[in-house]
Amino acid sequence: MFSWLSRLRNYLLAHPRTTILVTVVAAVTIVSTYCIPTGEPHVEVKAEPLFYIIGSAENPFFPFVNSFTIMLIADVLVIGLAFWATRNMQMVPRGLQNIVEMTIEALYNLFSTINRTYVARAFPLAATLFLYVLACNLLGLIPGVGSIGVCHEYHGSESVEGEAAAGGIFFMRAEGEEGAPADPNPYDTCPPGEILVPLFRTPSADLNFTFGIATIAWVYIEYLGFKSLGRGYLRKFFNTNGIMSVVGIFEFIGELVKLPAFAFRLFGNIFAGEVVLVVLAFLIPLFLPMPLYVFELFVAFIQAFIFAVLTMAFITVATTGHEEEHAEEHDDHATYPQREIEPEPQH
Amino acid sequence: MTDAGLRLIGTALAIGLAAIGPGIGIGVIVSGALQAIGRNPETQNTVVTYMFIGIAFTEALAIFGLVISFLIGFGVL
Repeated sequence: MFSWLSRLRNYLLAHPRTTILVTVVAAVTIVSTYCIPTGEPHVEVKAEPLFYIIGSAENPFFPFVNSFTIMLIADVLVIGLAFWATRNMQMVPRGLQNIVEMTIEALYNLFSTINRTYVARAFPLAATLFLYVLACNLLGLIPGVGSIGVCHEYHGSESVEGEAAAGGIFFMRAEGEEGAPADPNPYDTCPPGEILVPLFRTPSADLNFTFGIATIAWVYIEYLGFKSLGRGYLRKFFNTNGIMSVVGIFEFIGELVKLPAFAFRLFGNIFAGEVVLVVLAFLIPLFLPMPLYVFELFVAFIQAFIFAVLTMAFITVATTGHEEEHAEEHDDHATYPQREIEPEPQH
Repeated sequence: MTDAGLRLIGTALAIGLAAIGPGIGIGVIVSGALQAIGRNPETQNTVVTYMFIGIAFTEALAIFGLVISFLIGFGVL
Protein backbone atom coordinates (compact mmCIF):
# COMPACT_ATOMS: atom_id res chain seq x y z
CA MET A 1 0.00 0.00 0.00
CA PHE A 2 2.84 2.34 0.85
CA SER A 3 5.08 1.09 -1.91
CA TRP A 4 5.31 4.54 -3.41
CA LEU A 5 6.41 5.86 -0.03
CA SER A 6 9.24 3.38 0.24
CA ARG A 7 10.18 4.07 -3.37
CA LEU A 8 10.25 7.78 -2.58
CA ARG A 9 12.45 7.10 0.43
CA ASN A 10 14.83 5.01 -1.65
CA TYR A 11 14.97 7.74 -4.27
CA LEU A 12 15.68 10.44 -1.71
CA LEU A 13 18.36 8.35 -0.04
CA ALA A 14 19.99 7.71 -3.39
CA HIS A 15 19.96 11.39 -4.34
CA PRO A 16 21.07 13.36 -1.28
CA ARG A 17 21.51 16.62 -3.19
CA THR A 18 17.94 16.55 -4.50
CA THR A 19 16.70 15.73 -1.01
CA ILE A 20 18.50 18.71 0.51
CA LEU A 21 17.32 21.02 -2.25
CA VAL A 22 13.68 19.94 -1.94
CA THR A 23 13.77 20.21 1.84
CA VAL A 24 15.35 23.66 1.77
CA VAL A 25 12.89 24.94 -0.83
CA ALA A 26 9.93 23.56 1.06
CA ALA A 27 11.18 24.95 4.37
CA VAL A 28 11.88 28.38 2.92
CA THR A 29 8.45 28.40 1.28
CA ILE A 30 6.65 27.49 4.46
CA VAL A 31 8.68 29.85 6.65
CA SER A 32 8.33 32.69 4.16
CA THR A 33 4.57 32.36 4.35
CA TYR A 34 4.75 33.42 7.99
CA CYS A 35 7.74 35.76 7.85
CA ILE A 36 6.99 37.87 4.80
CA PRO A 37 4.14 40.22 5.64
CA THR A 38 1.27 39.97 3.21
CA GLY A 39 -1.90 41.92 3.09
CA GLU A 40 -4.96 41.83 0.95
CA PRO A 41 -4.31 41.69 -2.77
CA HIS A 42 -5.95 44.51 -4.62
CA VAL A 43 -7.66 43.40 -7.81
CA GLU A 44 -9.28 45.80 -10.23
CA VAL A 45 -11.62 44.54 -12.93
CA LYS A 46 -11.56 47.71 -14.94
CA ALA A 47 -8.60 49.75 -16.02
CA GLU A 48 -8.06 52.81 -13.88
CA PRO A 49 -7.55 56.22 -15.44
CA LEU A 50 -4.13 57.81 -14.99
CA PHE A 51 -5.14 61.19 -16.35
CA TYR A 52 -7.81 62.55 -18.63
CA ILE A 53 -7.15 63.56 -22.21
CA ILE A 54 -10.67 64.92 -22.58
CA GLY A 55 -12.93 65.46 -19.59
CA SER A 56 -12.20 65.22 -15.89
CA ALA A 57 -12.61 62.82 -13.00
CA GLU A 58 -16.22 63.90 -12.55
CA ASN A 59 -17.04 63.75 -16.23
CA PRO A 60 -14.75 61.20 -17.86
CA PHE A 61 -14.95 61.31 -21.62
CA PHE A 62 -11.55 60.11 -22.80
CA PRO A 63 -9.42 58.94 -19.88
CA PHE A 64 -5.88 57.73 -20.40
CA VAL A 65 -6.22 54.39 -18.62
CA ASN A 66 -3.28 52.33 -17.44
CA SER A 67 -3.76 49.61 -20.04
CA PHE A 68 -3.03 52.27 -22.66
CA THR A 69 0.64 52.43 -21.75
CA ILE A 70 1.37 48.77 -22.47
CA MET A 71 -0.85 48.92 -25.55
CA LEU A 72 1.23 51.75 -26.97
CA ILE A 73 4.46 49.94 -26.10
CA ALA A 74 3.16 46.84 -27.90
CA ASP A 75 2.22 49.02 -30.87
CA VAL A 76 5.70 50.48 -31.07
CA LEU A 77 7.25 47.05 -30.59
CA VAL A 78 5.29 45.28 -33.33
CA ILE A 79 5.43 48.11 -35.87
CA GLY A 80 9.04 48.85 -35.05
CA LEU A 81 9.97 45.21 -35.44
CA ALA A 82 8.32 45.11 -38.85
CA PHE A 83 10.17 48.21 -40.04
CA TRP A 84 13.44 47.25 -38.47
CA ALA A 85 13.39 43.74 -39.93
CA THR A 86 12.62 44.99 -43.43
CA ARG A 87 14.75 48.13 -43.56
CA ASN A 88 17.47 46.35 -45.52
CA MET A 89 15.76 43.54 -47.37
CA GLN A 90 17.97 40.86 -48.82
CA MET A 91 17.16 38.13 -51.24
CA VAL A 92 18.95 35.73 -48.94
CA PRO A 93 17.71 36.82 -45.51
CA ARG A 94 20.07 37.14 -42.58
CA GLY A 95 19.65 37.91 -38.92
CA LEU A 96 16.41 39.54 -37.87
CA GLN A 97 14.88 39.40 -41.33
CA ASN A 98 15.44 35.68 -41.31
CA ILE A 99 13.70 35.24 -37.95
CA VAL A 100 10.72 37.36 -38.95
CA GLU A 101 10.39 35.59 -42.27
CA MET A 102 10.45 32.24 -40.54
CA THR A 103 7.72 33.35 -38.16
CA ILE A 104 5.57 34.73 -40.94
CA GLU A 105 6.04 31.62 -43.04
CA ALA A 106 5.17 29.33 -40.16
CA LEU A 107 2.03 31.38 -39.50
CA TYR A 108 1.09 31.34 -43.16
CA ASN A 109 1.45 27.59 -43.35
CA LEU A 110 -0.61 27.20 -40.20
CA PHE A 111 -3.42 29.42 -41.46
CA SER A 112 -3.44 27.78 -44.87
CA THR A 113 -4.21 24.44 -43.25
CA ILE A 114 -7.40 26.01 -41.89
CA ASN A 115 -8.55 28.02 -44.89
CA ARG A 116 -6.76 27.63 -48.16
CA THR A 117 -8.95 29.90 -50.27
CA TYR A 118 -8.91 33.01 -48.10
CA VAL A 119 -5.53 32.74 -46.44
CA ALA A 120 -3.88 35.21 -48.83
CA ARG A 121 -6.53 37.83 -48.20
CA ALA A 122 -7.06 37.37 -44.47
CA PHE A 123 -3.47 36.63 -43.53
CA PRO A 124 -2.41 40.23 -42.80
CA LEU A 125 -5.24 40.69 -40.30
CA ALA A 126 -4.94 37.30 -38.65
CA ALA A 127 -1.16 37.45 -38.35
CA THR A 128 -1.30 41.00 -37.00
CA LEU A 129 -3.86 39.94 -34.43
CA PHE A 130 -1.63 37.08 -33.38
CA LEU A 131 1.55 39.12 -33.08
CA TYR A 132 -0.16 42.06 -31.41
CA VAL A 133 -2.10 40.03 -28.86
CA LEU A 134 1.01 37.97 -28.16
CA ALA A 135 3.04 41.14 -27.59
CA CYS A 136 0.34 42.54 -25.28
CA ASN A 137 0.03 39.31 -23.29
CA LEU A 138 3.75 38.85 -22.84
CA LEU A 139 4.41 42.49 -21.94
CA GLY A 140 1.74 42.19 -19.29
CA LEU A 141 3.66 39.37 -17.60
CA ILE A 142 6.75 41.48 -16.96
CA PRO A 143 7.19 41.93 -13.20
CA GLY A 144 6.20 45.43 -12.21
CA VAL A 145 3.13 45.56 -14.38
CA GLY A 146 0.26 46.13 -12.01
CA SER A 147 2.48 46.74 -8.99
CA ILE A 148 4.33 49.95 -9.86
CA GLY A 149 2.07 52.93 -9.72
CA VAL A 150 1.25 56.36 -8.41
CA CYS A 151 -0.99 57.36 -5.55
CA HIS A 152 -4.30 58.86 -6.54
CA GLU A 153 -7.02 60.32 -4.45
CA TYR A 154 -9.65 57.74 -3.69
CA HIS A 155 -13.15 58.67 -4.70
CA GLY A 156 -14.88 55.33 -4.36
CA SER A 157 -16.67 55.81 -1.05
CA GLU A 158 -18.41 58.99 -2.19
CA SER A 159 -20.08 57.45 -5.18
CA VAL A 160 -23.17 55.30 -5.36
CA GLU A 161 -23.26 52.03 -3.44
CA GLY A 162 -23.14 49.83 -6.50
CA GLU A 163 -20.28 51.72 -8.07
CA ALA A 164 -18.32 51.75 -4.86
CA ALA A 165 -18.46 48.00 -4.68
CA ALA A 166 -17.30 47.63 -8.28
CA GLY A 167 -13.55 47.57 -8.53
CA GLY A 168 -11.63 46.17 -5.61
CA ILE A 169 -11.89 42.72 -4.18
CA PHE A 170 -11.23 44.15 -0.72
CA PHE A 171 -14.56 45.91 -0.72
CA MET A 172 -16.14 42.52 -0.29
CA ARG A 173 -14.26 42.02 2.96
CA ALA A 174 -14.39 45.59 4.16
CA GLU A 175 -15.86 45.90 7.60
CA GLY A 176 -15.63 49.63 8.14
CA GLU A 177 -17.80 52.29 6.65
CA GLU A 178 -14.96 54.14 5.00
CA GLY A 179 -14.22 51.34 2.57
CA ALA A 180 -10.71 50.79 3.85
CA PRO A 181 -9.37 47.24 3.61
CA ALA A 182 -9.66 45.25 6.80
CA ASP A 183 -6.07 44.04 6.48
CA PRO A 184 -4.11 46.75 4.67
CA ASN A 185 -1.43 45.85 2.18
CA PRO A 186 1.97 46.63 3.77
CA TYR A 187 3.56 47.21 0.37
CA ASP A 188 1.06 49.92 -0.45
CA THR A 189 2.92 52.99 0.75
CA CYS A 190 0.24 55.45 -0.21
CA PRO A 191 -0.99 57.83 2.50
CA PRO A 192 -4.44 57.09 3.90
CA GLY A 193 -7.28 58.25 1.72
CA GLU A 194 -5.26 57.62 -1.42
CA ILE A 195 -5.08 54.48 -3.51
CA LEU A 196 -2.32 53.00 -5.64
CA VAL A 197 -3.10 53.21 -9.33
CA PRO A 198 -0.72 51.02 -11.35
CA LEU A 199 1.03 52.69 -14.25
CA PHE A 200 0.81 49.56 -16.35
CA ARG A 201 -1.87 46.97 -16.91
CA THR A 202 -2.09 44.11 -19.36
CA PRO A 203 -4.23 45.36 -22.25
CA SER A 204 -5.78 41.91 -22.63
CA ALA A 205 -7.00 42.18 -19.04
CA ASP A 206 -9.00 45.25 -20.02
CA LEU A 207 -12.37 44.37 -21.52
CA ASN A 208 -12.37 47.46 -23.74
CA PHE A 209 -9.23 46.33 -25.51
CA THR A 210 -10.42 42.78 -26.13
CA PHE A 211 -13.81 44.02 -27.29
CA GLY A 212 -12.03 46.40 -29.66
CA ILE A 213 -9.93 43.81 -31.41
CA ALA A 214 -12.79 41.31 -31.30
CA THR A 215 -14.93 43.87 -33.14
CA ILE A 216 -12.24 44.29 -35.79
CA ALA A 217 -12.02 40.54 -36.31
CA TRP A 218 -15.81 40.07 -36.29
CA VAL A 219 -16.51 42.90 -38.75
CA TYR A 220 -13.89 41.48 -41.09
CA ILE A 221 -15.43 38.01 -40.85
CA GLU A 222 -18.89 39.39 -41.71
CA TYR A 223 -17.41 41.51 -44.50
CA LEU A 224 -15.80 38.49 -46.11
CA GLY A 225 -19.02 36.55 -45.70
CA PHE A 226 -21.01 39.20 -47.55
CA LYS A 227 -18.31 39.62 -50.14
CA SER A 228 -18.10 35.93 -51.02
CA LEU A 229 -21.79 34.99 -50.81
CA GLY A 230 -23.49 38.30 -51.52
CA ARG A 231 -27.12 38.19 -50.51
CA GLY A 232 -26.82 34.47 -49.99
CA TYR A 233 -24.99 35.24 -46.77
CA LEU A 234 -28.19 36.65 -45.28
CA ARG A 235 -30.12 33.71 -46.67
CA LYS A 236 -28.03 31.52 -44.39
CA PHE A 237 -29.81 33.07 -41.41
CA PHE A 238 -33.21 34.17 -42.72
CA ASN A 239 -34.91 31.80 -45.13
CA THR A 240 -38.23 30.02 -45.60
CA ASN A 241 -36.85 26.61 -46.14
CA GLY A 242 -38.70 24.39 -43.69
CA ILE A 243 -36.58 23.36 -40.76
CA MET A 244 -33.67 25.40 -42.04
CA SER A 245 -35.49 28.59 -41.15
CA VAL A 246 -35.34 27.64 -37.47
CA VAL A 247 -31.73 26.57 -37.79
CA GLY A 248 -30.98 29.88 -39.44
CA ILE A 249 -32.28 31.83 -36.46
CA PHE A 250 -30.03 29.85 -34.15
CA GLU A 251 -27.11 30.42 -36.48
CA PHE A 252 -27.85 34.12 -36.43
CA ILE A 253 -27.75 34.18 -32.64
CA GLY A 254 -24.54 32.19 -32.75
CA GLU A 255 -23.11 34.71 -35.17
CA LEU A 256 -23.89 37.55 -32.79
CA VAL A 257 -22.49 35.69 -29.80
CA LYS A 258 -19.17 35.25 -31.60
CA LEU A 259 -18.24 38.85 -30.81
CA PRO A 260 -18.58 38.71 -27.00
CA ALA A 261 -17.19 35.17 -27.04
CA PHE A 262 -14.05 36.45 -28.74
CA ALA A 263 -13.72 39.29 -26.27
CA PHE A 264 -14.51 37.37 -23.10
CA ARG A 265 -12.29 34.44 -24.01
CA LEU A 266 -9.19 36.60 -24.20
CA PHE A 267 -10.19 38.81 -21.29
CA GLY A 268 -11.20 35.94 -19.05
CA ASN A 269 -8.11 33.89 -19.64
CA ILE A 270 -5.59 36.67 -19.19
CA PHE A 271 -7.39 38.40 -16.33
CA ALA A 272 -8.02 35.16 -14.47
CA GLY A 273 -4.36 34.27 -14.87
CA GLU A 274 -3.35 37.61 -13.41
CA VAL A 275 -5.71 37.22 -10.46
CA VAL A 276 -4.39 33.73 -9.76
CA LEU A 277 -0.79 34.98 -9.84
CA VAL A 278 -1.56 37.90 -7.53
CA VAL A 279 -3.63 35.92 -5.05
CA LEU A 280 -1.08 33.12 -4.90
CA ALA A 281 1.79 35.55 -4.45
CA PHE A 282 0.00 36.98 -1.45
CA LEU A 283 -0.81 33.52 -0.11
CA ILE A 284 2.56 31.80 -0.53
CA PRO A 285 5.09 34.39 -1.62
CA LEU A 286 8.04 32.22 -2.61
CA PHE A 287 8.53 29.48 -5.21
CA LEU A 288 4.93 28.33 -5.60
CA PRO A 289 3.94 31.10 -8.05
CA MET A 290 6.81 30.13 -10.34
CA PRO A 291 5.22 27.15 -12.13
CA LEU A 292 2.02 29.15 -12.49
CA TYR A 293 3.99 31.97 -14.05
CA VAL A 294 5.35 29.52 -16.62
CA PHE A 295 1.82 28.33 -17.23
CA GLU A 296 0.71 31.92 -17.77
CA LEU A 297 3.45 32.33 -20.40
CA PHE A 298 1.96 29.32 -22.14
CA VAL A 299 -1.56 30.72 -21.81
CA ALA A 300 -0.39 34.06 -23.23
CA PHE A 301 0.86 32.28 -26.34
CA ILE A 302 -2.11 29.93 -26.67
CA GLN A 303 -4.68 32.71 -26.36
CA ALA A 304 -2.99 34.80 -29.05
CA PHE A 305 -2.82 31.68 -31.22
CA ILE A 306 -6.48 30.86 -30.62
CA PHE A 307 -7.58 34.40 -31.39
CA ALA A 308 -5.92 34.32 -34.80
CA VAL A 309 -6.84 30.74 -35.62
CA LEU A 310 -10.47 31.26 -34.66
CA THR A 311 -10.62 34.29 -36.94
CA MET A 312 -9.48 32.10 -39.82
CA ALA A 313 -11.85 29.29 -38.84
CA PHE A 314 -14.82 31.67 -38.65
CA ILE A 315 -13.90 33.06 -42.06
CA THR A 316 -14.16 29.52 -43.39
CA VAL A 317 -17.59 29.14 -41.82
CA ALA A 318 -18.78 32.54 -43.07
CA THR A 319 -17.63 32.08 -46.65
CA THR A 320 -19.27 28.70 -47.25
CA GLY A 321 -22.97 28.81 -48.05
CA HIS A 322 -25.45 26.10 -47.26
CA GLU A 323 -25.82 25.07 -50.87
CA GLU A 324 -22.12 24.86 -51.45
CA GLU A 325 -21.42 22.86 -48.36
CA HIS A 326 -22.65 19.64 -49.86
CA ALA A 327 -21.29 20.33 -53.29
CA GLU A 328 -17.91 21.15 -51.88
CA GLU A 329 -17.66 17.93 -50.02
CA HIS A 330 -17.59 16.07 -53.30
CA ASP A 331 -15.28 18.19 -55.39
CA ASP A 332 -13.03 18.97 -52.46
CA HIS A 333 -10.60 16.38 -53.65
CA ALA A 334 -10.73 17.69 -57.18
CA THR A 335 -10.13 21.34 -56.31
CA TYR A 336 -7.35 20.97 -53.84
CA PRO A 337 -4.61 18.50 -54.49
CA GLN A 338 -4.48 16.40 -51.39
CA ARG A 339 -1.15 15.90 -49.79
CA GLU A 340 0.23 12.58 -50.80
CA ILE A 341 0.29 10.26 -47.84
CA GLU A 342 3.46 8.33 -48.06
CA PRO A 343 3.16 4.61 -47.60
CA GLU A 344 4.51 3.43 -44.32
CA PRO A 345 8.01 2.04 -44.57
CA GLN A 346 8.06 -1.71 -44.42
CA HIS A 347 10.02 -3.13 -41.62
CA MET B 1 -26.76 35.60 6.06
CA THR B 2 -25.41 38.94 4.93
CA ASP B 3 -25.54 40.41 1.48
CA ALA B 4 -21.78 40.10 1.05
CA GLY B 5 -21.91 36.46 2.10
CA LEU B 6 -24.58 35.67 -0.48
CA ARG B 7 -22.47 37.45 -3.03
CA LEU B 8 -19.46 35.26 -2.21
CA ILE B 9 -21.61 32.11 -2.50
CA GLY B 10 -22.92 33.29 -5.85
CA THR B 11 -19.40 34.04 -7.06
CA ALA B 12 -18.11 30.62 -6.11
CA LEU B 13 -21.15 28.79 -7.50
CA ALA B 14 -21.01 30.61 -10.83
CA ILE B 15 -17.47 29.56 -11.69
CA GLY B 16 -17.68 26.24 -9.89
CA LEU B 17 -20.72 25.02 -11.79
CA ALA B 18 -19.50 26.52 -15.06
CA ALA B 19 -16.26 24.56 -14.83
CA ILE B 20 -17.92 21.12 -14.71
CA GLY B 21 -19.14 20.86 -18.30
CA PRO B 22 -16.08 22.33 -20.03
CA GLY B 23 -13.85 20.13 -17.89
CA ILE B 24 -15.56 17.02 -19.22
CA GLY B 25 -15.72 18.49 -22.73
CA ILE B 26 -12.03 19.32 -22.95
CA GLY B 27 -11.25 15.84 -21.71
CA VAL B 28 -13.33 14.33 -24.51
CA ILE B 29 -11.74 16.61 -27.11
CA VAL B 30 -8.16 15.91 -26.10
CA SER B 31 -8.77 12.18 -25.77
CA GLY B 32 -10.23 12.12 -29.28
CA ALA B 33 -7.35 14.16 -30.65
CA LEU B 34 -4.75 11.94 -29.00
CA GLN B 35 -6.44 8.83 -30.37
CA ALA B 36 -6.46 10.37 -33.83
CA ILE B 37 -2.78 11.25 -33.56
CA GLY B 38 -2.02 7.79 -32.27
CA ARG B 39 -3.74 6.20 -35.24
CA ASN B 40 -2.26 8.55 -37.79
CA PRO B 41 0.75 10.44 -36.47
CA GLU B 42 1.25 12.29 -39.75
CA THR B 43 -1.86 14.38 -39.20
CA GLN B 44 -0.54 15.69 -35.91
CA ASN B 45 -0.23 19.34 -36.99
CA THR B 46 -3.76 19.54 -38.37
CA VAL B 47 -5.31 17.63 -35.50
CA VAL B 48 -3.58 19.75 -32.88
CA THR B 49 -4.79 22.95 -34.57
CA TYR B 50 -8.38 21.75 -34.66
CA MET B 51 -8.03 20.43 -31.13
CA PHE B 52 -7.15 23.92 -29.94
CA ILE B 53 -10.07 25.40 -31.85
CA GLY B 54 -12.38 22.92 -30.16
CA ILE B 55 -10.84 23.61 -26.77
CA ALA B 56 -11.35 27.34 -27.34
CA PHE B 57 -15.06 26.82 -28.02
CA THR B 58 -15.50 24.56 -25.02
CA GLU B 59 -13.46 26.73 -22.73
CA ALA B 60 -15.50 29.76 -23.72
CA LEU B 61 -18.37 28.37 -21.62
CA ALA B 62 -16.19 28.24 -18.53
CA ILE B 63 -14.96 31.73 -19.32
CA PHE B 64 -18.55 32.96 -19.51
CA GLY B 65 -19.10 31.50 -16.06
CA LEU B 66 -15.91 33.16 -14.86
CA VAL B 67 -17.01 36.53 -16.20
CA ILE B 68 -20.39 36.17 -14.53
CA SER B 69 -18.68 35.23 -11.30
CA PHE B 70 -16.45 38.30 -11.59
CA LEU B 71 -19.46 40.45 -12.25
CA ILE B 72 -21.22 39.09 -9.18
CA GLY B 73 -18.13 39.14 -7.03
CA PHE B 74 -17.10 42.68 -7.83
CA GLY B 75 -20.61 43.95 -7.50
CA VAL B 76 -21.26 44.97 -11.07
CA LEU B 77 -24.43 42.90 -11.26
